[in-house]
Amino acid sequence: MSDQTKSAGPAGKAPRLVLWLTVLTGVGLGVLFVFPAIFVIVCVGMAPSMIAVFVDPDRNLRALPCTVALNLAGVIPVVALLWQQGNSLNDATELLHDVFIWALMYTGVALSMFLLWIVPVIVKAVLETVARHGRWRLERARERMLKEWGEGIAEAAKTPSQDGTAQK
Amino acid sequence: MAEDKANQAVAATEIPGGGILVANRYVVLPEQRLSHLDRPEAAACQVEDRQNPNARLYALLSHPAVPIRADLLSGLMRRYCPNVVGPLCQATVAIDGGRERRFAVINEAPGGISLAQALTEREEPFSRADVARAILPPVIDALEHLQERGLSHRSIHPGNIFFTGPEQSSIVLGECYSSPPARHLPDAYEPLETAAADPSARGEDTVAADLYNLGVSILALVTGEQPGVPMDAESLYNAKVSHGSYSALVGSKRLNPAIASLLMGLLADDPKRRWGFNTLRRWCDGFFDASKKPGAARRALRAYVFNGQDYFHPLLLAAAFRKFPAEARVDLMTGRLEKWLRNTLSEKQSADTISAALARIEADNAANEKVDANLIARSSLALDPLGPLRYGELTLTISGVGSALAEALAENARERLASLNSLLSGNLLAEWTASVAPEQSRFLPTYVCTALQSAMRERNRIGAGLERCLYMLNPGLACQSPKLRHLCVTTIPDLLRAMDLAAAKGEALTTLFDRHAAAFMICRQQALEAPVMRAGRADLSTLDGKISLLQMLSSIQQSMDIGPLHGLTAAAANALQPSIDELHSKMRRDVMTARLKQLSEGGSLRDLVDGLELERGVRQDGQEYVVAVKHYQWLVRQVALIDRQGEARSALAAEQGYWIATMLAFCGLGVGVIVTVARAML
Repeated sequence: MSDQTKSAGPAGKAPRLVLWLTVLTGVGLGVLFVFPAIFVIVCVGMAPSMIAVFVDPDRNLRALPCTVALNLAGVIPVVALLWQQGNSLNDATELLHDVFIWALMYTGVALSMFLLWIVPVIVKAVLETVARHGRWRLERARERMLKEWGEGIAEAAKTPSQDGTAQK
Repeated sequence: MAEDKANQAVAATEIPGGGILVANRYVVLPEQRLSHLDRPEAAACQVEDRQNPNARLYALLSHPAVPIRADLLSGLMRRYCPNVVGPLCQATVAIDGGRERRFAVINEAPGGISLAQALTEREEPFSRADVARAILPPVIDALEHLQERGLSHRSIHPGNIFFTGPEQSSIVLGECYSSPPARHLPDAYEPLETAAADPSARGEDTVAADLYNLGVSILALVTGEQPGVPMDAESLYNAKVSHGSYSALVGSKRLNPAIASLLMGLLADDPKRRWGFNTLRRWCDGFFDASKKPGAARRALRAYVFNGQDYFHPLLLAAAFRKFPAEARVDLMTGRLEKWLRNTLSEKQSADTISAALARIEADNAANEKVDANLIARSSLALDPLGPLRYGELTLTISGVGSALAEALAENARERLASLNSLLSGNLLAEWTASVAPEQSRFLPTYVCTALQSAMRERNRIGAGLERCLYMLNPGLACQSPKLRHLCVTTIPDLLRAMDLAAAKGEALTTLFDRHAAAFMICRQQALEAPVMRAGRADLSTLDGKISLLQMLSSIQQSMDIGPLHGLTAAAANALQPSIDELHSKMRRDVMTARLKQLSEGGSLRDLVDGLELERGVRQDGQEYVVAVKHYQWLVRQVALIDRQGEARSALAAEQGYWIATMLAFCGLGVGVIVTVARAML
């Protein structure tokens, strides 16, 4: 199922990606003409997300929402700062000269990278633990049955078509 | 009811100081032997009477394999018979430190020595006066009493007639029940009609046979010699047939005319011409007619040539047929005998009998040993209608079938047993008993023959066959099971107690219930036939078979109020343990083993069978095992599924991990927007 999803995923999501890119391009061009300073800040700040889209489309399609969300979470305060300072291209250029502004915008991306690495590992560990515990419970039940009914039950269980008494 | 009571052996308990207390009165002392009172198949020992210390008593200890004459014994115990050693009480007693048991009968001891011993001590043989005064009157009394009761002594010879005291003025007949009738009488003592029979199968016969025995005994006493010595049995029989018993036994001896007359009367070969009690009394009083010397058996004018020899006497020809059966068959098939009987002896009925036997063979169109034995037996009966039945390896009288069977089984005589097997299965026995006089056929009535045939039809089943016939024909015989014979089991409660003893010594339950034990139970209590046969039909190696056997034994234990049977219960537990060990469930095994142990200690077979409910346990175990196997299969499948799902779990973890990270990211975005908006507003 997961294989099918994997193989069908990119083919199914490609038109949607194009649609989104078209919408974003339209919105970007709109913002470029109305708010050119915000457009510059957003283009520079959201660069990691855009790179992520184009570098590994399959992976990033699942990781993209996370990356974009945290990237946007870092860019929005800078846009707000820009808006407060006058929203001019000079203000934008001045903000881009500040290394902390860069750090603020890209820390979100770094955090998203970290989450995308650590959370699946934790989930996998949890799932493995649950499975191991379930297996242990089943094995213990099997051992109890062997102890109660003898080794013959294992032999009898190998031929499910016959009933147990015939196996004795 | 009285007979049942007489048949029952009374309680016997061992006394610490030695001896066995019987009926709370008689102390049997097996170590103190009285060899002069020994019988061929019973050892005599001292008995003390606690109520009458001066009483002269002795006990005869019979081996359990010997078929005692139970009817005679109970008859003598029920009613006193004058001038016969009287049995007072019977019991089974332990000997040899309790390792074996014997059937003990306590008797009044004769006061004097036996006539045979007196004969050796005397310088001269007995005189006519001795016979007339001391010997005959008491014997006549005794035999007359026996005749009144339909009994016969059948063990009269000088060694078994005793003086009542040292004065030697009167005699008493010795005991007669410790062995089959006439089993140990020398051949010379047997009358012609039973002389040809095997010693173990001479049978009860009538008092006429006793009178013949008495005649030979008197001959021995007055001549001081053993009659018939040194002739062997065959020569003696030939002589008796050819010349008559008197001539054959007396020969050229010179006898007192009165004694000669007495012997001619007593040794008459025709039982109807033998002297009776009145004639004997008159003889004792000195009145007698000069008897004619009794003649020989009927003789043909023309000899019948068989096997190269001439036979003038049908009786001798019958004996020759028995001796050479193969030649006899060939000879009989020629039809010469029929003509000889019809033309020479004018025996139309006998000739018809042989003709019918031949016709039957031709109709059957079969040739085998059984057919040959039948043909020879029928032909012999036609030649010797009053004589014994000559069948295969057997020569027996009607009342001797039981004792012959007992001896053949005790000796494991295969050829005789094969003949008995064939005889008891066929119609010949019934036809024979129907053809003889009532005083003979009463010993083996038609309904008994039918029952014997019925038992033989199922001969392969436990509780039937020769063993069943053995106990039917020998009501006083102890159980002959190889494992129990030494314990002298005479009743069913005793049988269970003996089984209990044997089981306590390690005998397995299934081996204790053998053909003898089953047949013994059925014959001693008819009501047990159905349960015993049911247990016998079952395969005792299976649980059902064991349960069936235990249910039967437990119902006997309960109904007969037999006390705890610890050995038998332990053996039953051992027998059931393998079935418990075969249970699949360990918990059920442990619980049932513990319960089995607990129940086996109680000694009650009923509690063991009902309390354990093993059959139900086995059934439930089987059903639960089927369910358990299915559950086990499910467990195995689940474990395999978890093992197989490793990669799928990784993919799931990645997918869910990305989803959770995205949720966290949007949460972060939300927080960032809220903080930014909040700052902008402030």
